[in-house]
Amino acid sequence: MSTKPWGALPVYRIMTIMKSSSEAENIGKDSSLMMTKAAELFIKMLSREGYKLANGGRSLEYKHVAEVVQRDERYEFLRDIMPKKITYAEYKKMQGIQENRDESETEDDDESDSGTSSGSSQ
Amino acid sequence: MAEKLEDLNLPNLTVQKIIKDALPDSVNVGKDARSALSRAASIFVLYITSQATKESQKVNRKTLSGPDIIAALEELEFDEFVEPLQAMLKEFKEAKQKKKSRKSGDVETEENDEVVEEEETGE
Repeated sequence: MSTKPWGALPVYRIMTIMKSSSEAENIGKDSSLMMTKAAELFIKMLSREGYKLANGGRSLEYKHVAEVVQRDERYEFLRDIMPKKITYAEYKKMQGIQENRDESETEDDDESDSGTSSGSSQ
Repeated sequence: MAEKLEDLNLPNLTVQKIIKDALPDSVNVGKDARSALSRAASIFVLYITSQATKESQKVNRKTLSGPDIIAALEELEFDEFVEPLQAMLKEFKEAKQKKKSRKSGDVETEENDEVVEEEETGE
């Protein structure tokens, strides 16, 4: 890992991103270095929080990160770019619920091989 | 200004390293997780910058400063970043001061340097 005080991310790139969202005439050098560090801290924090939801699993997946974003209010600004993904079986189930609202029948034919645990077996 | 949309992306390899650094050694990082985290970081920079700009406008400053970033992080509830960043800011100030007092030699006193420094950061 980098030993620079602002971490491993490229300062110039961060500066470019900052310029694109600021009406300020100048981006002070200190502010870009600090933002570079903040971006690294942010990636680490979101990774750790996501991994907590992996329950000690061997990999960090998109769904874990998206779940954190959906749960925590302060990540609201990311919700548009990180929608929660659902499986096709879940989608079908949602459709089923909408279509058969009055019927008590549950559809679990398609769930057996999808690997998702919907909790509604039998 | 960013000319292409790719200009707003962060380098994959660096982002990957940062994520791995934050997690236990044996954990794999899915490609979609990495690209989501990378995009999230870019949006985070936009989000904080926009708030920091508001902070600087409150006092009619035209340059975005380090303290504006800290104020923005506090405002948007990322308080845990404030301490490490403040430490970094302090380091920069001290480094600058050393450089300056070396340059100015015997003519100026340390105290004068400190005043100049404060004016600069308050800009």
